[in-house]
Amino acid sequence: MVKNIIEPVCANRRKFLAGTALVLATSWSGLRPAAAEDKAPVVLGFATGLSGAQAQYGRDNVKIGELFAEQMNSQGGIDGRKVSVVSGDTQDQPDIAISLARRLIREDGATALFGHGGSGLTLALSQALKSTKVPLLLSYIWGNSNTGPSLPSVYRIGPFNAYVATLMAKYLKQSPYKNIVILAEDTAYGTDFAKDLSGKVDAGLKVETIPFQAKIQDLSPVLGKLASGTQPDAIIVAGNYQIIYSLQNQIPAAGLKSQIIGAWDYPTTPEFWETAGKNGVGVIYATFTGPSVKLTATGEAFRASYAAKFGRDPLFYEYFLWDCLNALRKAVTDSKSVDPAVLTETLAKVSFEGTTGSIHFNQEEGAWNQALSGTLFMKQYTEVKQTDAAAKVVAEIAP
Amino acid sequence: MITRPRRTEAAAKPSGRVPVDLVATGLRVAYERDVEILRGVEITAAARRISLVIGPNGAGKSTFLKAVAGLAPVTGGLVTLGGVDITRWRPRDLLAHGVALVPQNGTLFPAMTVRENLQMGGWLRRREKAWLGESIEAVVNRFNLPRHLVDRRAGDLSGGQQKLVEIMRSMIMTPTTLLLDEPTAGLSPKMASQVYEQIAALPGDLGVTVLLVDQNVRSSLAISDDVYVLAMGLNNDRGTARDITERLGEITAGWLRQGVSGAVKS
Amino acid sequence: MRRPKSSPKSLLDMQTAVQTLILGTAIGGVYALMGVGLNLIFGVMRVANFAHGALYMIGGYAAYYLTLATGAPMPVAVIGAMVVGGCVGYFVNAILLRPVYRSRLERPSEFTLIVTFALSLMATSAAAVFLTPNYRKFEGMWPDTITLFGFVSMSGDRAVAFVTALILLCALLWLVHFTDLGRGWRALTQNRMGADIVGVDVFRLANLAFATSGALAAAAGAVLVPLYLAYPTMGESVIVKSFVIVVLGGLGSIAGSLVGGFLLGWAEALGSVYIGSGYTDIYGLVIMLVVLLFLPRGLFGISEREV
Repeated sequence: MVKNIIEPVCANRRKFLAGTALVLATSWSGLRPAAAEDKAPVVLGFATGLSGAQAQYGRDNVKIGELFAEQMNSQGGIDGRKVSVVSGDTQDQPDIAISLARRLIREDGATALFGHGGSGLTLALSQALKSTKVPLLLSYIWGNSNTGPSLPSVYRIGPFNAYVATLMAKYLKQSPYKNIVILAEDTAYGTDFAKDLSGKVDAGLKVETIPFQAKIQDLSPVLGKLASGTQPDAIIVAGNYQIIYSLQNQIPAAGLKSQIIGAWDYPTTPEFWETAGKNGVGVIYATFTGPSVKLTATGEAFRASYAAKFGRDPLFYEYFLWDCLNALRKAVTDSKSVDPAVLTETLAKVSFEGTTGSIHFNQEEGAWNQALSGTLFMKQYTEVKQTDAAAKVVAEIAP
Repeated sequence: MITRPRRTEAAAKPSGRVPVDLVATGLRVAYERDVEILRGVEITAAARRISLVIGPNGAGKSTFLKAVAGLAPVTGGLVTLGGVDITRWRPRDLLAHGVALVPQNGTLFPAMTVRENLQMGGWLRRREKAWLGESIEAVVNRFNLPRHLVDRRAGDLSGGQQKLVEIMRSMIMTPTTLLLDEPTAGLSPKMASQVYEQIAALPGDLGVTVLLVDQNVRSSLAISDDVYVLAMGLNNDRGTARDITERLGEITAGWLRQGVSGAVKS
Repeated sequence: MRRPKSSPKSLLDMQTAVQTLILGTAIGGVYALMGVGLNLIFGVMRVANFAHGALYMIGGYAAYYLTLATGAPMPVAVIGAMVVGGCVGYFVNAILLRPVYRSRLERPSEFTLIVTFALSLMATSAAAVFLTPNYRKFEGMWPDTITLFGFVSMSGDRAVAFVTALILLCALLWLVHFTDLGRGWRALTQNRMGADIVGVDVFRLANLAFATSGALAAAAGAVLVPLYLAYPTMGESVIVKSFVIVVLGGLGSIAGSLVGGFLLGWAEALGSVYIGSGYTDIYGLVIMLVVLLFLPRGLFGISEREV
């Protein structure tokens, strides 16, 4: 309920500037034709959460966009067009995200939108922007319904719930765990994931889903009840907010001996060890980076430039964002246009070398506009403050 | 000569304080610009006497008392206490200089006991526990409050008892001047007469100067010394209680005429 | 062992119920601490302090950085957080809210509401910008898992948080009921005009109420960092709960908030275990609505006339 105030301030400033522009309309309009002689630029729009719980990811996304724009511009732009980045804060609120995205398109001339946000928020955004035909390229949004024939301008590179659930069900089949609990947050992500996974596991496994409110702070009563009955062998954590970092402590404190399995690689985030402490040892998590993933030349180049800018290697989904940016580049160079409708059509046909392999978008039932890639790695931490690279690979599940 | 002393708690000790006149000169009050409720009222509450302010509805009686107590926006004129300018002083500062107020609406703390309410009456000298205890004891004895009521919740008392406790609370700091606004409003005649009885004894027993604003004209005249009649925010008449009592029929008839014609002549 | 003859299942059910109540109590203690602080300010100043959650957040971060910078043990960090929270609360009122009371505004409480709301937004944004949105944690005093009565398992830090909350609640009750300051606060709560005419210095007492409330909120934030972590939006969930507690217990009633805090803790714990785990926040609201239906002033509310 508490909202960021920076954005409204910016909005006011924008209004103020718009007013100034009106007053100076004549002198300004005289300047415009000179700029119009150049080719229309490629504007990368980032409508993403820049405040609130997931701000770090949002900010890193924007920085990757800036890195991409720098590189493109130093090579003479895309199709001779200058590349720039515009961004704004969605405050994790769908209504704000929609008005922000519209502004990025209308006032800043965004050619395509990228971003990191909840799957529900992104779906609302996609539907609201449908008529603009501006491509929306998703790199790290897991909702099944985020892409589909009804959303022709939305493309996704990277895993999504049904895909991850299929791979994880394969893992569970070969794992020693027979009695499994999924702690699923009540978002499109958590609910879909739990549904997909329970639908895909073998009949021999017992799977129970325990939903929880995404931003809850304390699950101890529920965990306590779980501990007092027949304890599950494993607890799969499918959430996004504070609670998933507290659970490494709350689960054992409730007297549960179950194996903790992260449904995504939140244990690789910088705050994991600070929040989990020694209870982080033994945690298993799903990720798409592993020793057998070979980066392409594109991927290596990205990794090197990213490391130079951020001082660390990219997280796995940041490779997918880079692929999304390259997908747009390919669409612009193939079509020699920045018209949204043309780009949306072209994207369906592009094929290029991504960071981890060749990329094209499928148009199949259940995987529409979807680049399918990625081997699922189940990794386990064996000592305190271990890095993702050093974690033990428990299983490697190919698609 | 008018002086402006410091208004701190240090002044709260009444040692050697003698009753003095409370004088309002040319007092003006306006809540909104151009809408004056008081238009230059002149009233003197003489030391150790009960001065009564009466008048028709809307004459500005309660506003006058509020203005003296620092609760209404004074736009002109002066209020002095023994020559000291106390215009626009807040109740807290007035109390420190011996002027206590008992407003019309109940101001007791309903969830506190009577004793705690009386303790609150000595807030400005709350650190002097021994003195405060004695003062409470003295007031309880003086007003003959039944002992069993002292530890009762104030909110559980009858209306008349509550008003008496309010007056008692205002006496804890041994003020020299007491401002009373409609002390018997809403009370039964029996309770009202008890309250008047207590007020009547204040100047004689405790040397208190009383400034009383009242709608209950007949009963309040019976205990008053000096009387001021207000009408339309101005002095309309004045006299001794006996004088005004004699002319009361004529005066109230005037109020009725005024109510009809709306004219004011002083 | 005194295992009763009844079936193990019913014993298990009993144990689950007792365990849920105990965990609810442990959570409720800290809720109560948040609730009483918010209600103290509401009672004394008639201000719905939307910055209460921000003070909780500030307390969490203050304790975190104190521990990080000086390696101070947790009790010191909590006291430090209380000092910081108390000072912030004091100056928020003394500097930002005082002009609102002093001006002759029609409805000062609506302006104070806007001011405190804006403050809470600013604090959250500032924390996100300057302290990064990352989740932070310091090691609590007692990170081990403890077992009560042989079957209730909880983190030792939870027990520490509960005991701290209980100590602070007792301290506040003592302050409110047995000191001059507390009597002054109660006077302001019960009759503003009455407090005015007996000479209560409203501003000074309001400053102290804000300081006390800020210190309590900061203490709550600090003791919970080992359990719930510190992050910029940590105040969001507790502010809603605090308001539920205040309304539940009755506006202006400290005892009411105390009971309300525990009721909310029990409602959430029992609701998520026996009704559904996905609706935790709803149980408190339902209890609140039910109470308001039958007792419009809350459980211990002072009547409108008396207020």
